[in-house]
Amino acid sequence: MTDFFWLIPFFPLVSAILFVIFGRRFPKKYVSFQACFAVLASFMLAAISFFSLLNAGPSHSLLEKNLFSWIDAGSFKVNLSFQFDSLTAVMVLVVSLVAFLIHVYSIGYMSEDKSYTRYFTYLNLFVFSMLVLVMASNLVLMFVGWEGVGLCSYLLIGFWFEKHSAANAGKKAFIVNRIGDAGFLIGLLFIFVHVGSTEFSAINEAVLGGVLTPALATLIGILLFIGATGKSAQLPLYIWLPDAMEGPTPVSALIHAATMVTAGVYMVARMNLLYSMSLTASNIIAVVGGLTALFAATMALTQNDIKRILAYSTISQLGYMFIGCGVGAYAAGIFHLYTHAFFKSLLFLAAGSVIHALSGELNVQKMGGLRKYLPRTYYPFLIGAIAIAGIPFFSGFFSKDAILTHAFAQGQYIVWAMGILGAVMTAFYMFRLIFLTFHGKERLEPDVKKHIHESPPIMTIPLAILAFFSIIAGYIGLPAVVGKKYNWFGHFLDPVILSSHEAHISMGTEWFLILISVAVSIAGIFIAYIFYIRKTQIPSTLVKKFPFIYKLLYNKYYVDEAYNAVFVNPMIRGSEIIYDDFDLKIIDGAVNGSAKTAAWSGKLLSRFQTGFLKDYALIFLLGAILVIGFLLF
Amino acid sequence: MNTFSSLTPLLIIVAGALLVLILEVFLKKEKKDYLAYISIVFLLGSVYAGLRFWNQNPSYFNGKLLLDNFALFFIFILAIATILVTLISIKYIFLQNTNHGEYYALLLLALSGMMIMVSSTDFLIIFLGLEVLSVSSYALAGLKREDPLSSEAAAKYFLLGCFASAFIIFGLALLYGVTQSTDITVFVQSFADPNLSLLAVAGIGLIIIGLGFKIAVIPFHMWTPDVYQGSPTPVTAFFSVGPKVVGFAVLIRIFQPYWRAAVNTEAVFAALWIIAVLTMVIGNLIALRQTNVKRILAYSSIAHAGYLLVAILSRDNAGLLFYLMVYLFMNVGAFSAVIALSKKNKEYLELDDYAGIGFKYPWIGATFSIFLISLAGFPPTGGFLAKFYVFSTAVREGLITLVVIAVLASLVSVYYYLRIIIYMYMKEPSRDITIHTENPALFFVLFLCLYGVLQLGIFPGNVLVFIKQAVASIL
Repeated sequence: MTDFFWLIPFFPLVSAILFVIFGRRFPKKYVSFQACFAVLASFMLAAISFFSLLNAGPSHSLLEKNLFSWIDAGSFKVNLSFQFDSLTAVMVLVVSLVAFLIHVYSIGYMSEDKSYTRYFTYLNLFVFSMLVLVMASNLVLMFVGWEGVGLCSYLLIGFWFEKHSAANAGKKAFIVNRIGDAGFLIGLLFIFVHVGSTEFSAINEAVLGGVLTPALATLIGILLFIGATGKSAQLPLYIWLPDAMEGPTPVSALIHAATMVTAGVYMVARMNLLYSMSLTASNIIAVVGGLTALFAATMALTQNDIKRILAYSTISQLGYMFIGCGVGAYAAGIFHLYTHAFFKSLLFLAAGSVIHALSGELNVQKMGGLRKYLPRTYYPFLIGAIAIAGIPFFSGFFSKDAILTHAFAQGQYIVWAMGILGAVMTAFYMFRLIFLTFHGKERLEPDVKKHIHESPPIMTIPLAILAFFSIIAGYIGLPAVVGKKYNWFGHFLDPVILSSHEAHISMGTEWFLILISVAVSIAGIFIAYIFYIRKTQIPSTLVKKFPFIYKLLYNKYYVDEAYNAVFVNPMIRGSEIIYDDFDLKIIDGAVNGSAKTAAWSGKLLSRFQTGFLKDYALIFLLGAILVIGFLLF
Repeated sequence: MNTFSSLTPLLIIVAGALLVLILEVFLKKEKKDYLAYISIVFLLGSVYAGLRFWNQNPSYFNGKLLLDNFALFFIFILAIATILVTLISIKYIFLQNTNHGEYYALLLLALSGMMIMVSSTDFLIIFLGLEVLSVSSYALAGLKREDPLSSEAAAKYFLLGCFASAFIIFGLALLYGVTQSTDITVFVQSFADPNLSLLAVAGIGLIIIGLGFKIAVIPFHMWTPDVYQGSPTPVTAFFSVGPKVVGFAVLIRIFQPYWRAAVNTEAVFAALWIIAVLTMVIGNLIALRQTNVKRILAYSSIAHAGYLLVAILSRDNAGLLFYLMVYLFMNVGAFSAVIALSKKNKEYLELDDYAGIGFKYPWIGATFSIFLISLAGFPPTGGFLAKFYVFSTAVREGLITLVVIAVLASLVSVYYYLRIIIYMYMKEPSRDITIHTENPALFFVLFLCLYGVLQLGIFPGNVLVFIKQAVASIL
C-alpha cells in the first residue's frame, strides 16, 4: 500500500475534475457524498502510510516517489516527486482529517446555497493543492501547491461575489499574497542557482556541505520568510486575513484557520536546517512572530464581529508558531500548528453554527444568553476557548507552553514576554467572546429571535469530534517536566528536524514558567468575567476614559488606511501620470465619436497636423538619440 | 548541403499566397472560407517540408539562405501561429465585413517575409524579409476599410514602420562601411577588435532600435496600443506574436555571437538592461489604467517583450525559445477569446462588456481565464514555467537586480489580468451581450491553445529536447 502513498492528493483532484465536467448533472446528495468521500479516501491512505512509516522504524523515515521529470533542460531540472516523512505525515493527517470534518459540516451549512457544486469543486481543489504543498519533495512543486491554495482561497473568499465586499476581499487576499510570493520566488531562484536543485534533500546536503555561505543562507531565509508572512498572515502582510472572513464560515475554518495559513510555518520547519545556519534570519522570525502574536491580540480585544475576533486570534496564534520556529523549537511550532488546527477550526465551525442559528448575525453585541438555545454549540465552543486560552490539560496548553518554554530557554526573554502578554489577552478576548455570545443578557433582534434554532446533527457532530481532539490532542507531546520520553510528538519529528539544539533549564525554572502561563490564562479569563458578567459598565467607562486607545484598537491601528496612503494610491497615481504624460491617448478622440461625423481622411490629416503621429515619431527619435548617445559615450 | 530543395518551405508559402489571390477572383463572397482551408493546406505542407530538413542544415544562394534547426524551429512556430490566426479569422472577417480575398494571401506573404528573416545570417536578406513582412502588415492593419480606427492604425503603422526601417538600413550602412560585409557573423567578429570604430557601435545601436520597434519595447512602443486596437482582432493576434517572434529570432542571431566575440559589451548590455527595465515597469504600469481589453493585451505584450529581453541579457537562448513558444499559445488564445465575444458588425472590447461572461459562456470564460493566468505566470501553466526558466537563468548569470525588478513588475501585472477575470466571474452584467456562437474553428483554436499552455506547463520535456537541438545549431 505504501507504494501508492503519492495517490493521496489525487482523490480530491479527480473529484474536482468530475464536478467540473459533469457537475450540473449530479444530484445534490451525490455531490456531497463524492466530495466528502474523496477527502476521506485521502485521509485513509494517509493513515495507512503513517502507520507503515511508524512500523518501519527510524531507518526508513522517508517514502519517496518520483512521478516524472517535469523539466529537464541541462542544469535546469525539476522533478514532479512526492515524499512522505514524519513532518509530511503530521501535515497530511491534520489537513485531510480537518478537511473531511469540514466537508461534512459544509453539507449542512451550505445546503441552501444555489452554487452548491461550485463550492465543493473549489473545496476539493483546495484540498488537492494543500496536499501537493505538504507532500512536494522540492520547493518548485511546493510553490505550485502554494499558488494553488492561494488561487482556491481567492475563489472561496469571493464565493459570494454578489456581495461587493466579498469580491474585494478576495482580490485583496490575492494581491497581498502575491507580494509575499514574489519574495518566495526570488528566494527559490537563489536556492536554485546556488544549490543547483530545489529538492529538500539536496538543499539540506548543500547546507551541511557548506555550499551556502551564512550570508546567503540569511538572504534566502529572509526571502522565503517574506513568502511565509504573506501566506501565514504575519506582520506586515497580515491585512488580508481579517477581510478573508467574507467567505463562507467553513472556508474560514479550513483555509484561513486550520490549513492554508499554516503553510508558512510548515515551510520554515521544512527548511529548518537552512534557518539553523542563520541566527539573523531565525531572530527575525522570532521577533516578527512575537510582535504579531501581541499586536494581533490587541486588535482582537475590541472587535465586535465574531469571525473577525477569531481571525485576529488566528493571526496571533500563527505568531506563536513562528516564535517556536524562530527560537529553534521547530517541533514545538509544528505541535502548536497541529493542536491549533483542531481548536481553531472547532471555534470557527461553532461560530458558524451560531451565525447559522441567528440568520447571519455577526455582531456579538447583538447576541448574549445563547447558551440555553444552542447547547450543542455552546459546549464545543467552550472547549475550544479553554484550549486556546491555555488552561492545563487541554491541547493548547501543552503546545503553547512548549513554545514559550523554549523561547525562555534560548534567552529570548523579550519574545517570551510578548508571548506571555499575548496569552493574557488571548484568554481575555476569547472569554469576552464566550460571555458576550452565550452568557449575560439577551440582546437579540426580535425577528432574529423568532427563527433561532440549533444546527442539524450533520453540523454538530463534526463539532463534537473536533472538541474531542481539542482536549486530547496535546497528550502526545507532554512537557519535559513530566519526563522527556513522553514528548512522543517531538521524537516522531526528529528525523526531519535536523537542527534541534536543546537548551537546558532546570526543572524548577520550567515549573515556574508553567505556573506563570497558567496564572496569566486564568487572570485573562477572570478579567473577562469581571468585565462582561459582573460589572458590565467597566468596558464602557474604559472606552470613555481612553477614547484614543479604544479608537486606535477598534480601527485596527489604521493599518489599512496607511497602506492605502503609502503604497496603493501612489501606485495608481504613478500609473495615471505615466499614462497621461507618456501614452498619448490618440484613440480617445476617435472613440468619442467625432471621427464618425467628419470624413475620416480629413480627420486623419488634421490628426497629423495636431501632431499626434509627430509626437510618436519624436519620442521614438528621442529614445533613439538616448540609446545611441549612451552607446557612444 | 547546398540544395535548391531548401527553398521548398518558402516556395510553398509563396505559391499558396499566389493561388489564394487568383482563386479569390473566382469565388463568391460566401464561399471565401475555402481560401482559409487552402491556406492551411499550404501552411501544413510548408511545415512538413521544413521539418524534413531537421538536423540536415541545407542551404542555398551560397549559404545566404540557411535552414539550420534554429530557422526551422522558428518557421515551425510561425507557421503554427499563422494557422491559428487563419482559423480564428474565418468567421471574424465574415462577421466584421473584412472579407476581402487578399486577407489570407497577405497573411501568407507576411509569413514568407518572416521565414526569410529567420533563415538568413545576412542582414541585407533579413532586411528584405522584414520589408516583405512590413508591407503585408500595413495592409492587414487597414483591412477594416469602413472603420476609421483601422485606417488610422494602418497609417500609423506604416509611417512609424518606415521610420524604424530607416534606422535599420542606416545602421546596416554604417556596419558595412566598417566591415565591408553585411553578414552578421562577419560584422560581429569585428567587435573583437579593441580599436573598433565608433561607427560600428552606432550601427549596432541603430539596428537594435529598428528591431526594438518590431518587438515593441519602450521607448519604441508608441504604435503598439493604437495599432493593436485599430487592426482587425485576428490581425492583432498575428501582430502580437509574429513580428515579436522574428524580432527576437534576429536578436538571438546577433547576440549569440556578439556576447562571445565582442571585447567591450558593457555599453550595449547596459542599454538593453535599461530598455528591459523600462519596458517591464512602464508597460505593466500603463496596463493598469486601461479599460479596453485589446489595449490591455497590447500593453501586456509590451511587458512580455521586457521579460524576453531578460533572456537575451542572460544569454539564455533555450529559455527564450521556450518562452516564445508559450507566449504564442497564451497570447493567441487570449485574443481568440476576445474574438469569440463578437457578433455581426459588433465586437465587445470594453471591460464592462465582460461582466458575467464567465457564467453566460462558461467555455470562453474558463479558457480565457486560463490564458490570463498563464500570462500572469501562475503554475501549472506554461506561463509560469517560462518565467521561472528565464528568471532562474538570469539569476545564475548574476542579473539579480534585473530579476527582482522583473518579479515585482510581473507582480503588478497580476492585477490587470485578474481584473478581467473578476469582471467575467464576479460582476453583474451591466448590459446585454449576445454573441455569434457558431464558430467551430475558433473553439478548436481555443482548445488547441489551452492544450498548448497546459502541455508546456506540465509536460514540457519533449519540447525542451526540440528546443535544445534548435539552439545547438547556432552555437
